[in-house]
Amino acid sequence: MRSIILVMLLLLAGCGREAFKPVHADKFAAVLTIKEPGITFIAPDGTILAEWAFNEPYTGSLLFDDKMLLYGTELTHATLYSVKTGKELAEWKVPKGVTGAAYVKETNEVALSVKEDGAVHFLNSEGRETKKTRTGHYPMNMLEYEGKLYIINYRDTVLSELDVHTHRITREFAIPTSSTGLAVNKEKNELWVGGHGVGARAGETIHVYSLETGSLTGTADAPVMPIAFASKSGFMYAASHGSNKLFAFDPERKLAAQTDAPANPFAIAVLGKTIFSAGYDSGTLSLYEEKTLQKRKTIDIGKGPFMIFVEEGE
Amino acid sequence: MTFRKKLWMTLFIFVLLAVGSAFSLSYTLYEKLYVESVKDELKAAAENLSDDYEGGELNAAFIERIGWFSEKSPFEAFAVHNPRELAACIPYEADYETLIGPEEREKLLENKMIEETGYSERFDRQIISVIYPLLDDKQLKGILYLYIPLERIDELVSSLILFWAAGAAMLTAVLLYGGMRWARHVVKPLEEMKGAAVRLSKGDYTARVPAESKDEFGQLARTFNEMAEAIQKENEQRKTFLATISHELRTPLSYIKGYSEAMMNGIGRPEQQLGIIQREAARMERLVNDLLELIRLDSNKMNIEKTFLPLADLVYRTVDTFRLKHDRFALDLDEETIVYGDEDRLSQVMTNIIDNAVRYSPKNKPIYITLRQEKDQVKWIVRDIGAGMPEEEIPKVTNQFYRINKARTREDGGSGLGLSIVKQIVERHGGELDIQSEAGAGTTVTVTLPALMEEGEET
Repeated sequence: MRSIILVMLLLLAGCGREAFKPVHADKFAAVLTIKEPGITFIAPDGTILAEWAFNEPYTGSLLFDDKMLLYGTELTHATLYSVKTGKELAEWKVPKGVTGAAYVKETNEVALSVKEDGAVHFLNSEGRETKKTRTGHYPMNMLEYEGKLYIINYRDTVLSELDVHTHRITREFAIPTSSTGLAVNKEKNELWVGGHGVGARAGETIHVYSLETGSLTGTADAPVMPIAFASKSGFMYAASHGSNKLFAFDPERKLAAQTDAPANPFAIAVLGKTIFSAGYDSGTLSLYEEKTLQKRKTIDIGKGPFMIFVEEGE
Repeated sequence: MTFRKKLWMTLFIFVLLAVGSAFSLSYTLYEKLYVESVKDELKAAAENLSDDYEGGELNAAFIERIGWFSEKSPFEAFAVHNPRELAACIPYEADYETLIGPEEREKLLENKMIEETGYSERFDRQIISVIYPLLDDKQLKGILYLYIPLERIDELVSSLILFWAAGAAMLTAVLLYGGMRWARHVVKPLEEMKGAAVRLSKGDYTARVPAESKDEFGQLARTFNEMAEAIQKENEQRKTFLATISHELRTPLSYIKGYSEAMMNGIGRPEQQLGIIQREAARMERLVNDLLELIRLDSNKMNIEKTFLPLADLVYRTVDTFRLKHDRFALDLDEETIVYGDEDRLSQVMTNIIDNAVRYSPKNKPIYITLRQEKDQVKWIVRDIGAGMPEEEIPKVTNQFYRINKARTREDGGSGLGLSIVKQIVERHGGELDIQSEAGAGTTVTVTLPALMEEGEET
């Protein structure tokens, strides 16, 4: 009888501190699904390495330093997991309304954009808040590049540039409202900004800003509603979820290729020579050749894939 | 409020309720069926239209075709391919009202049609709508939105209401007129009975009601008539009774008055006259005593003090009191018989019966008296070979003041109450009186009483 109770206690304890399947691969993609919250780890060839399922309504995550941070717009905590062990490392207290996250390697800080107070909150490696900076209405997508943090204010008409050391706003870019998705073309020193469009009118254009001058240097057509980007070797890849299309632009910003994406793609990423894109409606992940966007493979990924992270290894 | 009015009112309320509920029921049914059929038509139209979609992006020709359909058909229809309207941006928050919500999008993605009935904020009215997905391999390329405002259905139903209202009014009028006639018909016997009762209460005992029907009213009328008849009979009996008593009392009184006057005037022989006066006074006394007894018996005021009684002994003693008047008695008595009864009353029964037998028998003819037990009954039988009476007279002899001898000669006449008293006493003892007779052959009177069984149990 005593041993039965012991076993049950162990089982109960096990349930509470369950470890997910660890991922030891150097190179992988991780897909966050939010209709049924979970993360699926994929090898560059498209085989599934591990599947993690959560009971909490996570709406976003951040992969950094072999760790996965999961947060939810309605949650007041974020959970940190080790990718290598599959174990929960910590639970951080965060403000309600987290809409995006970015890792700043130089300062080893995590930046969280919070819609409730229109600010970016900086957390140190222990999860303690060190600083917050107000940016605009509904800060959402964030990207760190060369000591600067770029933040799209979704319900605003400005894109904020923060200095990661001083946490101060250094510049503001004029952007359309409901802008979503941003990427840096390192070769060209450009910032690409996508968007849904205004009101019922769907956006069809990508706005390209010069990081040097901060002004709009050009546009690229990627109908309808380009909202996710990935770049490699001067090429920029965009996913348009309104038309279920993927576009590849060459370094001259010319359309190099376009193809059908999985239904309602919200995410795109590059791993090695492979482009990954997932369809929110279809629950599938498709793999494409870089530059030509030749489809190689499609796999089922789970309900509502929303973000893709890549780990390129050293 | 009279019963007729109450009846009519009840009917009125029932008719209103029935017509009202029939109306609301059919209205609901009609509306429901109509809405259902409209929904089916919408669905069929949406399905037909969707057949024209050949995959890929929605082209202008297709959208135009839907517009054309919308113009030509009773439904409003349009095709939507703007992903913003189709909630494609969820989970990103939208800054405007989309045409469909995330749940609807999920359903449409599963290639399921959406039907809705109710208020639409976008159109600001009540509508029935059908949303049909246009899918191209799991991609929601667009939707077909078909709807019809509910007002149109209401318009159709309102024309129906007119027909209904007219029909209902006519039906109500017919039912109410019929109901009025019916209520009058139902209440008629009651009113007749009421009238008869009033007449009865005012002393008209001939009042009767028609009682042809076989229903409860007919039964009530018959019972009423029986009651009226009984009251009438009782009244007549009372009158006869009073007349008889007056007559019975007046006769001896006139004897007494006449002979006493004669004595005072010194006419005739005083001894003889005194004898007559004494005889008539005794007759009056007997009459009054008998009357009192009968009244007490009638009103159940007489005390019956029951004891265990050997009946043979009582017979012997009673017969002995008659031996001076009549000496030929043939007795056959079972000496074991015992009854539970009042000695004085049963003695009176025997006296009255034997008195009658003696009175109507010639002196030389024997009177047979038998006493025997038959199972749980004691039978006491007195048979004479005397004058007897016609068969039709037998049922009347127990009536008060009834005499066979209508001349009422006081020589042989009693008070005329004797057998009435006997019958009452026997019945109060739980017994029966039976009289058999034939004119010129004699009379047999049988008194049946419950016998006392062993251990003092009366059956």
